Amino acid sequence: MMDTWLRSLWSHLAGSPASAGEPVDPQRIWQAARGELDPEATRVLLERASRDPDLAREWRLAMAVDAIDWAPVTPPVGERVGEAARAALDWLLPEGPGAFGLRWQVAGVLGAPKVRPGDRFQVHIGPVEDPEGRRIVVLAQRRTAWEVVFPVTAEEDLALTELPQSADGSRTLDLLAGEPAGRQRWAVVLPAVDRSFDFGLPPRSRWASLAADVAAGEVPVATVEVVVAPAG
Amino acid sequence: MPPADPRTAEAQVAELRAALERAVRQVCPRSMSDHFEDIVQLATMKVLRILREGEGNRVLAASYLKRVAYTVAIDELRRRKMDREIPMDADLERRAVDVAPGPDRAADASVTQRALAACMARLNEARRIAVTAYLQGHTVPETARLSGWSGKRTENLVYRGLQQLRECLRAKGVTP
Repeated sequence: MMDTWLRSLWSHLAGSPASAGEPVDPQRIWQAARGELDPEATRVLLERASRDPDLAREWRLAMAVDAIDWAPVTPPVGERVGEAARAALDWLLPEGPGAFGLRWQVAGVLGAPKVRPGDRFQVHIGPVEDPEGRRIVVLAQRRTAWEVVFPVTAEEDLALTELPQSADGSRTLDLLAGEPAGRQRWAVVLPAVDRSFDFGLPPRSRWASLAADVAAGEVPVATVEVVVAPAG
Repeated sequence: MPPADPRTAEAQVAELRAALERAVRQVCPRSMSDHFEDIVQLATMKVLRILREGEGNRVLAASYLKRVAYTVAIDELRRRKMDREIPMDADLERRAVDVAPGPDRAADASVTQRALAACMARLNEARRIAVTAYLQGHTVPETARLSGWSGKRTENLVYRGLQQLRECLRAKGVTP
């Protein structure tokens, strides 16, 4: 019981700038936690972990990941890669800078730093290559996953060139800020204009093939972080 | 070559993602909880890319894919920690609240954790190493294997180290 308490205390220690040294190579932590380093090197790392809560936390993550019961995997071939993404991952957006520029502002208010729930804000898209060949899908990151917020019906389906164009070639899309306050992530996906989506299907099935192509990096996508202030 | 798992790769990627969620959730600081989903997504995506590049040429060891997922998750945790606008000391205060409930719980927890760090520092090096491994969640036999010490010596170091740690904390007024 006492050890449970000590372990709990220990696991709640958090790092601080003062305690942080040069980060240890994650590969080395992984090897150490799995017993693949020589004992002397492992003892050095454990000694450091005794006074470096960040290292201790990264070590515990290695233990937790290593404990996953997972069998060897035969990679899916060809089209089945897309199937894997579709079946397993829902929306999986690529890391790093987007395929095109994306910025936001409160509608009509240049330089406004924040938007409040219920306010309209504008997202500026592009410029992009081949705008005539693109349509628009907008996603918002909810608590646990990305969700398509536009288009919701076939009537809303919109080509990129249907949006107003700025002098710099970017296109402007009006959106409505919602709860909760804080930093909200939005994404704009630009599938080919000749691609069809069956709005009669449930959302997961409707967007499955597009989600798979996005995960495979085959459709342009960019994300933007919108700061939403508390209402009132 | 190890045999491929009879389950589909799709099911396996889904399983890995779910397991990564559990693993990252265990260690993700509250101050980074809004990035938790991203970290898991990126790690899973990296694995998916490797599967894609593999294109069925070979069976990929689970340990290899888990290592990749781990290093991606760590890179993201570190990058997002550096990006934080608030100092990590504030994070420590927030997390400390969870440890010691009560009217002055934040202050108490902070004192408790400082006491723990101080008492750990008082252990001699061998005991500190053994106790650290134990508190991290390693068993005594695992700690012996990692450290290269005999099982008997490791057991002694852990036992004596924990005893000294408890006494030190008690002397500072810190009890369960």
